[in-house]
Amino acid sequence: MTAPSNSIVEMIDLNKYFGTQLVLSGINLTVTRGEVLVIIGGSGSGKSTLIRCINGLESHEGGSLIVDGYTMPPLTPPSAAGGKDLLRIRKRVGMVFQQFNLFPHKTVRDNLTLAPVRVHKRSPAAANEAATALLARVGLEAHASKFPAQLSGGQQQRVAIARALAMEPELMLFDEPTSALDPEMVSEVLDVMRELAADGMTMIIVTHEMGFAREVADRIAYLDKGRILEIGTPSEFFDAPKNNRTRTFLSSILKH
Amino acid sequence: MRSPALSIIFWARRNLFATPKDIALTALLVLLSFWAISHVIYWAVFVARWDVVSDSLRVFLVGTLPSTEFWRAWVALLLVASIVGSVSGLGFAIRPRHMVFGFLLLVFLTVTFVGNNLVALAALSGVMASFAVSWVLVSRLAPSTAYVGLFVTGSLALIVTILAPAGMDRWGGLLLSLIFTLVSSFFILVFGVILAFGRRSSNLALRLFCIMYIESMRSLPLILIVYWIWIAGPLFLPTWNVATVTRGIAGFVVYFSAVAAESVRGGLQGLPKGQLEAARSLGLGEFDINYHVLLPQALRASLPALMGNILDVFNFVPVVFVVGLADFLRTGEMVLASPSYSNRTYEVYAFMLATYFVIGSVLTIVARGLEHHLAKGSRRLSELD
Amino acid sequence: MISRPPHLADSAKRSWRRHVIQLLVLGALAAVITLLIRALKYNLADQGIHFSFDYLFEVAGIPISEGRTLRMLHGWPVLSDYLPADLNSQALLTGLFNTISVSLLAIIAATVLGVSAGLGRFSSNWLLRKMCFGFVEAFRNTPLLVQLMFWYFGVLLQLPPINAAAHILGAITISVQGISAPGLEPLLPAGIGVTICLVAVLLWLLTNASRHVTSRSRRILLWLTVAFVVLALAPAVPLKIDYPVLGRFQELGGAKISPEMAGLLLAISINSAAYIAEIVRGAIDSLPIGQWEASASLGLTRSDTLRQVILPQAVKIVLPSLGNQYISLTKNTSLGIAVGFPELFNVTGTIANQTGRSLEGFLILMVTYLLLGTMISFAVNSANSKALRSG
Repeated sequence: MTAPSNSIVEMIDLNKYFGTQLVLSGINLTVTRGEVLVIIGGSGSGKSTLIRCINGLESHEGGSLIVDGYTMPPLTPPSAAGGKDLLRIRKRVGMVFQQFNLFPHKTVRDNLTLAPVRVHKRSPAAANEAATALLARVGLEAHASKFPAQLSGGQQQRVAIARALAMEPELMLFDEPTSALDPEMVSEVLDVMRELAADGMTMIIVTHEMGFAREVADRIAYLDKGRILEIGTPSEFFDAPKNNRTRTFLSSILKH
Repeated sequence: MRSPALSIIFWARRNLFATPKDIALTALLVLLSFWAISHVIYWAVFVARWDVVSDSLRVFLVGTLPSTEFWRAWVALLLVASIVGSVSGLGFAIRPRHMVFGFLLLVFLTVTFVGNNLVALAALSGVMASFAVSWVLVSRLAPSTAYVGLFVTGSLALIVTILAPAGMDRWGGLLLSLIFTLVSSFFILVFGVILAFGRRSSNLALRLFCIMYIESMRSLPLILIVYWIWIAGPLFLPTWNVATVTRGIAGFVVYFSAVAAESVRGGLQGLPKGQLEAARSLGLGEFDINYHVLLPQALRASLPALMGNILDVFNFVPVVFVVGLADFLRTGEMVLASPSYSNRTYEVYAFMLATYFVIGSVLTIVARGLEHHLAKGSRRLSELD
Repeated sequence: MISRPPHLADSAKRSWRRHVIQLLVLGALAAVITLLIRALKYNLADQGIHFSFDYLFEVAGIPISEGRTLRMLHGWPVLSDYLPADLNSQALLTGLFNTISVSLLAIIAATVLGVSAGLGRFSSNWLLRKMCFGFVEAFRNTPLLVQLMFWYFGVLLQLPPINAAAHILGAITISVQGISAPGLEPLLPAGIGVTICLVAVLLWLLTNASRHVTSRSRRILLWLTVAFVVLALAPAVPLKIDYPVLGRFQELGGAKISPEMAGLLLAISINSAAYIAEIVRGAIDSLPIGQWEASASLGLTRSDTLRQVILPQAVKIVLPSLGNQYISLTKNTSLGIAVGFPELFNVTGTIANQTGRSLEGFLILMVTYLLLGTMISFAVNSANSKALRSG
C-alpha cells in the first residue's frame, strides 16, 4: 500500500477483454481527489465498463488499477465480494446505477442502514441517525418509512445516492444516473449531484447530460471503442475539440 | 484479439480457482467425479454382463407381444418416428451434420442390438428413414402447424387401429409406454384446453364444475385415479367390455387434463389484457374471441409447461403396473425375476434409466424447437442448408 | 334515433341466450350424475354388494409390517403398534400414519437438499454449478417409479445381512433389514404425550395463521404451548435410551427404518429435491441482476447478499410453487405400494381386496387425500401471507 497521494484513481495501461473481444484498450487515466470527471461516448464505447472496473463489478486483465492506494486485484470474479483489497476498495467507493437497484423488500431507511451495519459494523442507532441526516440532505426525510415502489423514479434515484453516501465513500461513481428517468425528474437528481460536487466529493460520472457536464465537470473524457480519444477541461473540450471523431460525436448529440 | 487459449486460462482462473476455498472445492469435486466416473466406466466395460439386455431386447421393447404380430409393432414404430420427425421439422431445419449423426446412430444401433438379423436391420432402417423423411418434408415444405397437427392425429389413430387386432392387452414394453403416452397426450391436450376455458366461462355451473374438478385432481394421486377407474369402470358400465389399456388411458386423461388445464391457465393469465379488449371492441363474440384470439396465443405461451406435462405423463406410465399392464419398467422387473438373470440388477436398471433419460432429453429438445417455431411470427424456416 | 353499435344491440339477446345455456348445462350435469348413480345402484344390487361403511368396524385380520395406529388407553387415544386383531378403521389409520410420517420426513429432506442444490447453481465455482445442474436434469428427466425401484432393489436390498451389517458411529446399523439407531423411549406410552404435543402445536400454528390475533397474545400462546409440551413429556424424563439388540435373526428395540420406508424416502426426497432446486433457481434468476451489483458495490459479502437481499425476495416467489411440490410429494407416497410399504393407498387396496369394499374405500381415500392437500395448501398459504406482510 502506497502512501496516500493526491490521486484517488490511477489506471495504467488498463485492458479488458470480453472473451476474445477487446473492450478497453490501453487506458491511462489519473483522477485527483475532489475532481469531477465526466465520461462521455457512444454506446459500446466501453464507458460503463470503465467505471465498473473501478469498484470491481468488472474485472480487468493487463495493466494496473489503483484505487485510494489499494491495488485492484485482477481477475476478481465479478460481483463476488472476495479478496481483502477488493473489499477495502468497495468500502471507499460508492456507486449509483442507471436502474437505481434499490432493495424493494426494505424500507428507504433500511436500504440506507443495511450496509453500514453489516459492513462498517456500525450500531443500528448510529446508522439510523446518519440515515436521517442523509435523507434530509437529499430532501426525502419524510419518506424514510416508505418502500421504493411507493416513490417516483427521481425520488428512488435520490435514495440510491443517499444509500451510497451512507458508506461515507471517498469516491462516487455514477453510471448514467438520469438515463432511466422521465425528463421532469432529471433536474432533481442533477441538483443533488451538483451539491455533492460543490461539497468537494470526488465523482466520476458517465452521462449524456452535456449542460450538466459543462457546468460541473473539472474534466471531460471522450471514450471511443475502448480508448480515451480526448480528455480536457470543459472549455477545451466543447469549444476546441482536438480529435475529429470527438467533433463528430459532439455535433451529433448537441444538435438538439 | 487475444488467443482463445489464453482466454480459457483466464476463465479457469476466475471460475475454478478464484479463492483458496474455491481451489479446495474444485480439487474435491474433481477427485470425487473422477473416482465416481472411473468406477462406473470400469464396471460398465469389464464387470457388467450386458447379454441380459441383448437377450431380452424383445421383451423390453414389445413385452409379451407374439412374434407373429411384430410387423404391427414395426409399422407403429415407423409412424411414431414420422410423428417425432414431423414435429422436429417444425422446429429445426435439417442440416448435413444431422444426416451424418443419424447414419452413425443407425450403425450403432445395428451393431449393438440387431446383430445379423436382416429383417430387424431392414425394419430399423425403415424407421430411421421415416423419421428423416418426415423431418425433411416438414422443414422444406413448411406446412402450417394445423396441418402437422392433423397429420399427427391421423397417425395416432392409424397406430391404434394397426396395433389393436394384436390384442390390446398384449401390448407391452417400450412400445406400450410410447403409444400410451402419445394417445393420452392427445386427449389430455384437448380436454385440458376445454377445461381451462371452461374455468373462465361466464356460465356459473360450468365454471364451478371445472374448478372443483381441477382442484380435486390437484390433491389426488394419479395411481388412485388409474386404479379406481379400472375397478369402478365395470361398476358403472358393466356391459361394455373395455380393454385395460383403454381404462388406463382414461385414468391418465382424467388426471392429467386437470394438470394441463392449469398450464393453459398460466398461459392465458400471461396474455396482455389489451388482446381481450381489442377483440371485444371489434365486436367478436365470446366463442370467436376464445377460439381465434386467445387460444393460439395461450397455447404458444403455455407450450413449455404443456411439454413438461407430457414428459410427466411419459414418466408416470410405469404406474400402470397397478392395473396389470406390462410397460417398460415392468418388463425390466420381469427380466430380473427370471432365475438366469436375477443378479443383473444394475445392468437392467442402467439400461432402463439410460433409455428413459435419452427419451426424456429428446422430448425436451423437440419441445424447445417447437417453442421456438411457435414464437416466430412466420412458419417458414429460412435457414436451410 | 341513434343506432347502437351492432354488438350492443345483440347484448340483450345474448344474455338471454346465456341464461338458457346455463340452465341447459346444469340440467345436463344433473342428468349425467343421476344416470351414473342409478347405474351404480343397479349394478351394485345386481352383484349383491351393498354400499355401507360398517366394514370399518370389523376385524381386519391383515398383517401390516410397520406403522402405528390409534388405540384407546385409559380413555386417551394413544399411538401404538398395529395388531392384526385390530379393526379395519385402525388398519386404515396405520396406513395414514405411515403416509404422514414419510411425507413429513420427505418434505424436510427435499427442502434442505433442494434449496442447497438451487443455491449451488449460483456458486462462483463452475464445477459446482454444473454438478447441481446435472443433478437436477438427471432426477427430473427419469421416472420417479424407476428411481424408487432402483433405490429399493438396487441399493437397499443389496445391503449386507444383519450379521455382517455396517456400523456407523458405533450406534447406527445399516443392513438389508433396514437402518436402526438407538431410540428414545419415554416412560409414558408414546401416544399420550405425543398427542398432547401435536394438539398444542396445531393450536399454535392456527393462531399464527390468523391475522386477527395480536402478536402479544401470539407470544403468550407460544409460551403456553412450550410449557404444555414440556409438562407432557416431563413424566417421561429421564428418557430411556433403547439400544437395538441383536437377537437371533433380527434386531429388537431401538428406532428402525425399514428398507421399504428408506427406499420410498430416498426416492421421493431426492426426486422432489430436484424439482425444488429448479424452482429456487428460477426464483433467484428472476431477480434483476442489479440487486447483486448494488449489494456488491456496497461491499456486502456474498453470504450477506444472499441472506439480506436475495433470499428474502426469492422466498416470496418460491412459496406457492413449493406448496405445489409438497402436495405432489405427499401424493407420491402412494407409490409405496410398488415396494410393499404399507401406506394409505396400499392398505386401502388390501382391505378392499379382503372385504370387496372398493367404492367405500375410494371415497375414504379421496376425502383423506383432499384433506391432506388442503392442510398443506393452508400451511403454505399462511407462510406466504406472512412473508408478504413482512415486506
